[in-house]
Amino acid sequence: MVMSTLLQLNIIFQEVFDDPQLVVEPGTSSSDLADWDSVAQVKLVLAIEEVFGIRLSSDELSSIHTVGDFMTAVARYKS
Amino acid sequence: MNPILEIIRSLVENAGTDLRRAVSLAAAMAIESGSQQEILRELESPTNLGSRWLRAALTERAHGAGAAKPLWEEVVDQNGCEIPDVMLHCARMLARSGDINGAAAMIRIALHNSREYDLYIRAETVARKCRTGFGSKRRVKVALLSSSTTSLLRGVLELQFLRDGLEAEFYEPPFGTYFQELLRTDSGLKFFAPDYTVLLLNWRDLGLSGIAANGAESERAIERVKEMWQAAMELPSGKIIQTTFTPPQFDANYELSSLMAHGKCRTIRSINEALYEARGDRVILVDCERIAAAWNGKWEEPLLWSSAKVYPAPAVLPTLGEHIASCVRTELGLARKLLILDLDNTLWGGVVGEDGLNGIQLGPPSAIGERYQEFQQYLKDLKERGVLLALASKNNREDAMEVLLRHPSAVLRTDDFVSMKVNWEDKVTNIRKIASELRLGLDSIVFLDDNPAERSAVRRELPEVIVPELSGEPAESIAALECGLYFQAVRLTDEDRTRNASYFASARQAEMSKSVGNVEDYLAELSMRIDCGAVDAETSIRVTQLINKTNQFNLTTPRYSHEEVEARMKSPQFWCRWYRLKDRFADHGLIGVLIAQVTGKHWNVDAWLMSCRVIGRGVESFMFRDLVQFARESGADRITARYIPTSKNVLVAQLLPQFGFAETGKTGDFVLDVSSAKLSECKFLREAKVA
Repeated sequence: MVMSTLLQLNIIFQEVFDDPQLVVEPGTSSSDLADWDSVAQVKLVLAIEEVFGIRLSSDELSSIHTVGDFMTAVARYKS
Repeated sequence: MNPILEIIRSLVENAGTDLRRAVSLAAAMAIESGSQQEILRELESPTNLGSRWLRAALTERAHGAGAAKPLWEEVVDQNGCEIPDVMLHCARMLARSGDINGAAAMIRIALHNSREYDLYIRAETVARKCRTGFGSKRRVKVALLSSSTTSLLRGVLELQFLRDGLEAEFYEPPFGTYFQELLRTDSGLKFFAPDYTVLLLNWRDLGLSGIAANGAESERAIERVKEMWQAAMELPSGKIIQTTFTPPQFDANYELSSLMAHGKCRTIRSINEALYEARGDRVILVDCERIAAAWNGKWEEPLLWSSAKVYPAPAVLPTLGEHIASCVRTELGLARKLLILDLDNTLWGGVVGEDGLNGIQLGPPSAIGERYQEFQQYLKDLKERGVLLALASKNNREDAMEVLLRHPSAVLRTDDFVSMKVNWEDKVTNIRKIASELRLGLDSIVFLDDNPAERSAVRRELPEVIVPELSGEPAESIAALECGLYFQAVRLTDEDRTRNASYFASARQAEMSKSVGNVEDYLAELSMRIDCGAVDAETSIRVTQLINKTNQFNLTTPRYSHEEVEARMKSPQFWCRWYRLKDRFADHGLIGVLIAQVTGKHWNVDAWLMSCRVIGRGVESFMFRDLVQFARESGADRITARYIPTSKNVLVAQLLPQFGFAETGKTGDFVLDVSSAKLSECKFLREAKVA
């Protein structure tokens, strides 16, 4: 499950940043990717909500800074 | 079977609406479980959209873009509609292989057929990379002034402008400074000098109480907006696009908010009303109340407002962007002008050539028929405000015309169309012909057809033409046509209302001028049908009318009362005939009368006349042939006739000699030997029951 979440997140990151070579890891953070600004953050959240069919909370929105944070948030809804 | 295969298969086959998500999940699972090859073997003959999609996705991963390309082309839904997500993916592949133009064309189609924000997010980066492929010819400078975050809207607008061939340059002042930017003389905004200033405000900016004591708050708010307009108008040449205010979704005053004179909801409406009144020439208002109503509670997302100052909800942005972009398009003269329509299963349900006039679905009591009728009314309304309508349909002309002329529930009639190409030629050729006939560019055309193959052919051959996807469900046709706002207009002139008539005339003239070069082609293209019969009680009134008002094509200019006509009609001494004509433009009705007095073997032409509307169509040859054939059958040996000149009938001075009548020596008196009469062929007049 964790693996497939990461795989799907990777696809979303590749699409949002239009970089098919992009590989993200749980530790990848907004400071690692130059394009990951506040606008990209909103886009990532929206795309992730769409793909996983979930709605992130206010708390999560403000506390997500890494790919791992997204994974944790997704896992919370999927458990 | 391997259980994981079973799961993956059922995942994509039963995915329902969110197929992209299911396919992405299935692909991830296949890769994770290392069963890609096995799945691909399973999917060799895919049965539905989900499995076709998965096959293309996995093939691309396993064997590369080249091998996957033909498979991607097969990924269309059960109605044959293109999937915007798939088109976007193909665009990505093309872009990677260096085909920037091909990628841009794909993105353009995807964006025309989707208002999903999710798609816009994913399209943004790839579209920027293919920027040159869009071949934008014009530049436009747009300032986005708002109390909310504009960067999401900007991304959407950038895509929509690119799609429409506009290279847009944006100016977004730092968050929270839009008011100062407008008022300060040395601001970045003034330096930018926008062509269009978009003012996107929301109810929070109005600072309204739940229920105010008086109208002071409202007046202050209106003054503030006007002040901003005033400031924006000091910019060199710009226009202002202002979004109207929407009431908040939640309001503790419930109905009171509208019932009370100074309730918040009512005040917001009155502010909008005041803005409409005050707007002048340089302000265009986008009616957000209407857009919000269609979004049914999804117009705002409180969470995203609080966390990122996003207004309205991201999901609405493509729709809002479309409204703004369409206003810019129409201001630049880029709005579409002509809608070319298919007939069968587009304007009515069924195929008229097979189901017949009474078998097609149009109008009540059939529910589907009602939908089609409503769609026709919608198109008629478009036409009334200046959008041109034309037909490009593969059909027998007569079948199609029968519906347009005679179907009791048809709203659209023959004269609603400026051009009718109802034939068996391909649509691309017909669309080209219509465009050149009307002297309109292909980039002013929208083409609507229920057949996915036709749509695809037109998109490929004529990329300038917009071809919306139609699901084949008549209830969805209006939405499919309207969501692109292709025919946006921000003002209405008398000229708009009469545009159809003038194009109609010019289209006819184009036809006519062709006839100078080639009369035969012209006559052939008219698809005329003629019908004739003996004058009877039913036709005698119209026959009398025609006898008394026809001046030009009238050999003897008799003026008979209805009684006199009836007397002739009933008398065995008279042979009385009427003629009707119909062509692709119109049913001309009863247009000819020929009466002869019969005295033994001698026939004498008593009246020969024809309506001026159908002069030059060869109808007189048909009438002459009719006369001679009947005279022959009755055993007549000669037909006499007289030309009585008047101030108006010089047109028929040569009529009798033309058909072989010889002058008797007495001026105006002619005679024809029936046995030697030559009957000319009437090849453009098909004899058929007209009515």
